[in-house]
Amino acid sequence: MRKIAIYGKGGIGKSTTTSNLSAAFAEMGYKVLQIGCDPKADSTKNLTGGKKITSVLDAIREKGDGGITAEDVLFQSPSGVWCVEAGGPTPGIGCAGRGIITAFEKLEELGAYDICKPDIILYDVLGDVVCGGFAMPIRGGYAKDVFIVTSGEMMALYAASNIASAVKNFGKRGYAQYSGVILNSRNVPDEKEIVNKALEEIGGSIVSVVPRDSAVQEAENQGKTVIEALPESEMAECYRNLAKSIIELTEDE
Amino acid sequence: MSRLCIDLPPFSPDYSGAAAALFDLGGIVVMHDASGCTGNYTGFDEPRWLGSRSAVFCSGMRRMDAVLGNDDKFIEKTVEAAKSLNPSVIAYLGSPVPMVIGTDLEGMAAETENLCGVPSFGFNTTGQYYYDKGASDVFVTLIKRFAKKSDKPKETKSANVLGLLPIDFGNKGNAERICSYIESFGYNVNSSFAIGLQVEQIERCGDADISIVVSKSGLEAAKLIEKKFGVPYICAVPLHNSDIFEKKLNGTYNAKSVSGNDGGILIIHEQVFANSIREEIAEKSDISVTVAGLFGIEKSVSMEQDITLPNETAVKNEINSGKYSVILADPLIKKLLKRDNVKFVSLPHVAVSSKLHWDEYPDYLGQEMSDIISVCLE
Repeated sequence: MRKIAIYGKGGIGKSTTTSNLSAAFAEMGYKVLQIGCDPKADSTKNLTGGKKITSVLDAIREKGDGGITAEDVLFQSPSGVWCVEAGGPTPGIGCAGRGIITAFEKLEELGAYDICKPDIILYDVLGDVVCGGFAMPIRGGYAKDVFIVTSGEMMALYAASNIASAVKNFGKRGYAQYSGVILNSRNVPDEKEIVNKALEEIGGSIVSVVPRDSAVQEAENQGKTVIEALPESEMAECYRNLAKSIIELTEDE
Repeated sequence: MSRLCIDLPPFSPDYSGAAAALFDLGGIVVMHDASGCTGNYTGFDEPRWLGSRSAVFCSGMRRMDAVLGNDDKFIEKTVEAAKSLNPSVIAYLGSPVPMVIGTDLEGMAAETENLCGVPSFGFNTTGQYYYDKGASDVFVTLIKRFAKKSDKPKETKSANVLGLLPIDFGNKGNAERICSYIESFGYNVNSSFAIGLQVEQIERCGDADISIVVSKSGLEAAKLIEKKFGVPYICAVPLHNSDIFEKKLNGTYNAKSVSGNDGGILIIHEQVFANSIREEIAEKSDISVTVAGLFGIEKSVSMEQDITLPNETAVKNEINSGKYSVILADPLIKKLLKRDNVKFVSLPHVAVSSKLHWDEYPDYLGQEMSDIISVCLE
């Protein structure tokens, strides 16, 4: 099994990248589980026809802690990808980080991993590693490899640096390793050079450059991934290549 | 609010069970809390605490530690303590605040072990569960880490005793007498989880001929030892003037339990102990006995009529339901009984009444226990 976490600054395109990766892996014949770790619970939206699925915390809210089953929170997309959303507390109150921990504990308790039996698990994690909850996907037993989505914009690189140092800090505990960045292009002038320059300090290298392309928006308007909506497009091929690179860079355990 | 206790005190939580399971191991136990949880354990759940040399520490977590996540500070303190105490193991135990902020106790343990080389563990106790779960999790983790099958030829029969905690067996020598009783059948006590537990005992637990589960907290450990090393297990607490324990040990026991609960006896206590009393009653009469657990009921060792009483209201409703003529339970539960025609027999349980009654335990292998059974049969 490959266990991969995708981190990056908010709004940088993590969910789009992760969903397309999931679809590409599924197309390659892998059994995939994508777990959205964002209180907004919209990570898997493009895999499920634009519809939001019931999150783990919503299910707990509705049925009570002891009342939910794996079927309440585990959904399979038309492309065969298993989808889970951790969800979050009522906006403005509660604790989102603790929510992620609760969702992870609940998934184990419900035996979700045994039901999906995934070859690849993708954790799509909100923004920065701001607290213990958002670090959960890179803690023991969860993700083994961390990829960071960034652009050449300063704030995205700043977030990437923070995330990489958090992952390296956790290295003392024998946890996930930082495995490189995915450059999700924003058409910043000399973008690749800027990112490479930043990586001299952050460490690691660019795994793949994902160009800015209207195909992404077109697919999203249909509630789909590019792989499913526009399978013949250059963009779909780009995501397939990214998926192949990630398979090469990660180990099957 | 359904779990609100008005007459009963809070029961022993998971961190107390975990600390009790580690108490005799010669390690360092760090309870990660502000001090209330540590005080609860040392002051109310651990009869061995006064006069002991066990290294149970409180991390002294403060508001800013929770905000800033000062894991390094606690790790450094622990490593420093380890230099002078030479512990066999180091264990971090969680409490409600680490649970809420998601403290990575297993990660802290991994760092600690890297720094000082002492086998280290993080247990995600939260105060939201009861002592039996905390102890059970510790037993299972220790066995997974240390137990190994030896090739040495065995000279005598040996037994593991699993779930032997003062929280269940009190402060009056029951644990020691149970071990002596087992030895009287020619068995060496190979390992005692947890009174007297040493790392060497954990290492050799797979060499035993049998595991004897004396409380629910030992059951998962027994299942694991059976799975890993093929050691069979029985569930039994020996009682005075009863040959059931011996029969179970020899594999010749045939259960004679009676089902139904109307007009019968209700035992509210640790499940394996309560089952043992029920089995003894069944040998001598056909009175039905219901076992009730305040901390949950393990299905694999329960009967159809057995119940969980998850809160004080449930206890009150059950004991006043009119279904029972005799109730055996901790003395504090007597206060909830409103019916005059029900006989109440006190059976102290540290997990319920703490130090109030921990010196009043009957001798399970003495006449006092026979007298209790006789009262049930009258």
